[in-house]
Amino acid sequence: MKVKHHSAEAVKFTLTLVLPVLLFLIFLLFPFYWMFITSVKPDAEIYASPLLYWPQHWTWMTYEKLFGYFNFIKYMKNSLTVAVATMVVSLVFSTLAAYAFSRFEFKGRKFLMGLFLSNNMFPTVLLMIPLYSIMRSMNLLYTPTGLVLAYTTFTIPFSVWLIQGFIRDVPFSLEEAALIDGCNRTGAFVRIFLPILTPCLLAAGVYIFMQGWNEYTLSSMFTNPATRTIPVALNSLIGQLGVEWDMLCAGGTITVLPVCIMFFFAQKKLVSGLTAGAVKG
Amino acid sequence: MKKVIATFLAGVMLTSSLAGCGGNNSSSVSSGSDPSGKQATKLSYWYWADNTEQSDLMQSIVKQYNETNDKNILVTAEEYPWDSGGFTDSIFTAIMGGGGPDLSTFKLQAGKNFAANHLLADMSSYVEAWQDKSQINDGIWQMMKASTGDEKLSVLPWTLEALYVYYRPSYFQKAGIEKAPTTFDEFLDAIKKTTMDTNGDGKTDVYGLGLRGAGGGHEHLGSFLYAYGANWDDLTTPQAVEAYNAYLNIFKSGYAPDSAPNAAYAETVDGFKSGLTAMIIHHIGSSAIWSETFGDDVAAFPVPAGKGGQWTCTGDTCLTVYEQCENKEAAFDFYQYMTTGEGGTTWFKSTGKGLGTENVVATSEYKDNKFQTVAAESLKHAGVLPPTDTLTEFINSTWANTNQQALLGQISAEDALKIMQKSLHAE
Amino acid sequence: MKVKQGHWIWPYLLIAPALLTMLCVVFIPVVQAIVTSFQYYDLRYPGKTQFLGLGNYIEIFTQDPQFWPSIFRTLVWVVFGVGLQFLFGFILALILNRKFFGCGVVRALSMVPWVTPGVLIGLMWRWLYDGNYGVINDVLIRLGILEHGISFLSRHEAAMPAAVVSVVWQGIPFFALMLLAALQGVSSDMYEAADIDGASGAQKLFYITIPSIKNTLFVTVLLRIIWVANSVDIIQNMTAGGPAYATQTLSIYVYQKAHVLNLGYASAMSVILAVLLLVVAVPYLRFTFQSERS
Repeated sequence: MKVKHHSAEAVKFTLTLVLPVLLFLIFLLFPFYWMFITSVKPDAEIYASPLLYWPQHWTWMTYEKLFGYFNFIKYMKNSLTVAVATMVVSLVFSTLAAYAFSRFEFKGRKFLMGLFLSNNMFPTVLLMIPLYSIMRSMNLLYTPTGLVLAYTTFTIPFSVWLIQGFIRDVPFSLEEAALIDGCNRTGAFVRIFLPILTPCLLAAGVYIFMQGWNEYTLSSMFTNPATRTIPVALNSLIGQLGVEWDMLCAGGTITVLPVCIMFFFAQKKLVSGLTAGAVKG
Repeated sequence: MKKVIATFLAGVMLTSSLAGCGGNNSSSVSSGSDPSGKQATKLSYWYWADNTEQSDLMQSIVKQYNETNDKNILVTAEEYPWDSGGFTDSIFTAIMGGGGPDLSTFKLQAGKNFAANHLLADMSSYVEAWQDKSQINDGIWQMMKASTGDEKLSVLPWTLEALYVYYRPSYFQKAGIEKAPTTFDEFLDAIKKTTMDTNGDGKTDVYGLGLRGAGGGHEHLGSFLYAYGANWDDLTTPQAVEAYNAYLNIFKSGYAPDSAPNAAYAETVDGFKSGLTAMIIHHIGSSAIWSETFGDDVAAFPVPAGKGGQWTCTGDTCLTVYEQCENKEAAFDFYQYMTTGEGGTTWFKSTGKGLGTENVVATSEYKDNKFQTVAAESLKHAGVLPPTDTLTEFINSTWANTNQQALLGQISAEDALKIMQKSLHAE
Repeated sequence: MKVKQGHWIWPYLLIAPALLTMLCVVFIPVVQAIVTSFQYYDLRYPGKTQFLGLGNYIEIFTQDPQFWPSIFRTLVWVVFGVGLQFLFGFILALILNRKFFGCGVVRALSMVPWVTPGVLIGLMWRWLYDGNYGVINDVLIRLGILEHGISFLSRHEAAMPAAVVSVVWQGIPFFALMLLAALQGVSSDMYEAADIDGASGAQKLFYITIPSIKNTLFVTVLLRIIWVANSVDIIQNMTAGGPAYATQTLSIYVYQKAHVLNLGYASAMSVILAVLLLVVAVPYLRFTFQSERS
């Protein structure tokens, strides 16, 4: 998209790009902005009337407390471990299954696809007691592995359906060409499929990662203070005596930022398909 | 397509018989003690903390206990989020699933459900033999006993926090009120008078009461009921209707902020903290916040008596020992430490919460805190809701929704009370 | 268009890891819950547990005054929640698919709501909506739209729209990301050809873009419907189903029934919810399997 120096072009550019982008960013970021400035406001300013849109006094005390004695780094490590492990496991399992669903014809295929889809239709709150028994009998309680297993299960259906949807949107002719060229199926999968699937795998991966990074209910049940993840740690800032807003907001900010930075680097891969577009067709 | 679903359902039905045997083989494996006695007796203790300071405090108290107790007891304290009551659910799920702690902090209102599933240990023999038993008054023990509905003493008192009224003396002065209300009518009058337009722009900017219309607000309604001669046992009496109307009128007459229907603790605190409300009903737990925010410009009085009587609700944090705990004696030793022992004293000094036992009353923190007197006075008239089977449902769901309907004028006071009565006392 | 060569066992081997994980973790609990739905199973009265047949279902359909309203509210919640997420997410994906200065930063920043933990979303929005010191009211007053603050979450008519706005906020990045990824698979040759033919932007959208990513569109919408219909964290933290049931969706109702340990009843409602979701899923499954044949 090149900007031409005609005024009509400039108006069009503003109307179709600049304005919508701005509106979206304001809507999407304002709550985050509010969270951030709450975290750096001294207590008195959080409840100031009229509202302060910019802190008069900045304080980083909350962050010191968060990383100091609240030991937030520990929870971030736990969340990161679980999220990355879940992402890898779930992505591998899902890609294999999705490939089978979209490129093979076999008995029970429709049934199994339906089964996968129905997996997430049941509210987790009712599954907790049996799930706890299962985790306990497998000796996985309070271990990151247990959480990874649970998250893998709850993300697989989505990922499988998502990836098979993507695969079905990819023209079959590509793979056929590779097969005709003498590649075996594995070769076709690795050389042709994976590169084209990169954006899709990345999207699915981000979805799975977020799930592991942010999930509360299962984590609150299957972790202990040593293996606790971010959302549960944040929730412990909400006591009967109200919310520690400054800490909660600081924690929220710190939860969001690293993922956004990671995504900033990852998104280049997400749209790399644009340049590789010539391969397809 | 029909075939797909039919196969699917058939599959589900088929496996259901399998699952029947699969899920219930959860025999309990104890993570607890070694009976040989040589090794340390291990206790797993779960608690929630109301803020980060309290979580540190709890850890240090437990550490202290582990270092000083002479019975070689080792308590492992693990924190779980309060999660507006989700704490109790986590323990329930864990124990039903074959895990969970030996003892934990607990809420009276959960006593019945836990007892119904035989999850709680009967501690009465230990309590009977306890020399400090009498430091905690009989009414409190009765309350504990009543909470389980099975005549056993399973829930042990740890801290009780009776509700009373915090107010801003400067607002009272501005409204021309000379002294803190001593009757319920004066209280209502004060709410009316402290609803003010302080800057003269024609809009109310100070509201008399930070009414809590959502979760937890039922505790406040209790004071109204008793003041008008009604009680929790029958919410359909004319007195109850009169009481409820008095309660609703505070909002309908504009003496409480617009946000009252969805207001739970956070909203009422924010309102009082920012100076929007002149009065708030809460317990000792928040006194430190107010003193810090307002200095001398905050005071308190017990919810006054009305023509029908005087009652206030008490918040509670109890300790309970679970049936699966293998060394209940050790657990009780820890309980003693947490109440009349050093742990109880330390906890009180930092949080202001305790049971008014001798070790607590002797501290300078008790003597120097003007709110402790009001709290102690309030505890004399304090109680809890009747421990019916459906109490949790009433508190968690029926109360807020029904009260909100009444506040918003969708249903009449009578109808709302009928719904509450049915929910609270369903057989 | 399936490849049939290769050993018959291959697809099963490929599916096995995913299937086994799923079976061992979710399947047994779900089946147990389904069994529970046919029982009187209230852990407040564990001694009274007994087989009820369709008893719970009959009570839900005929006697529960909260059931039908909560079905209706679920419908509103899902239709508007997912609908608006999708609409704005799609628009955002189309925007982010263009190259412009700083597009990387904008893409990364757009993800913010989705990264925010659900608990925090509920609490944060509850605070933003507050009638007295909520920033939304403050902005609206400053802009002259409102004269004085509204307690959005305390008003019967405003609570659900307010909750929908926050779930839309959370979900836009999801659709933006998924659809952006799908858009990468659309060949640029087709657009170039359309440009030569003088097609308008809207024509390109409806005749090239949408058909090319239809599978992803369907899958994401469907899965999001399932997710949103089952979600509790936002509403529970914002209003807990109130005021006066105004935001009590079926999943919130189930959540609350489960919390008071009436598990049989809650399970029965969950089964109903799952069946409703299956009904939504059937047209999609049909579409998927049919389009395979063609």
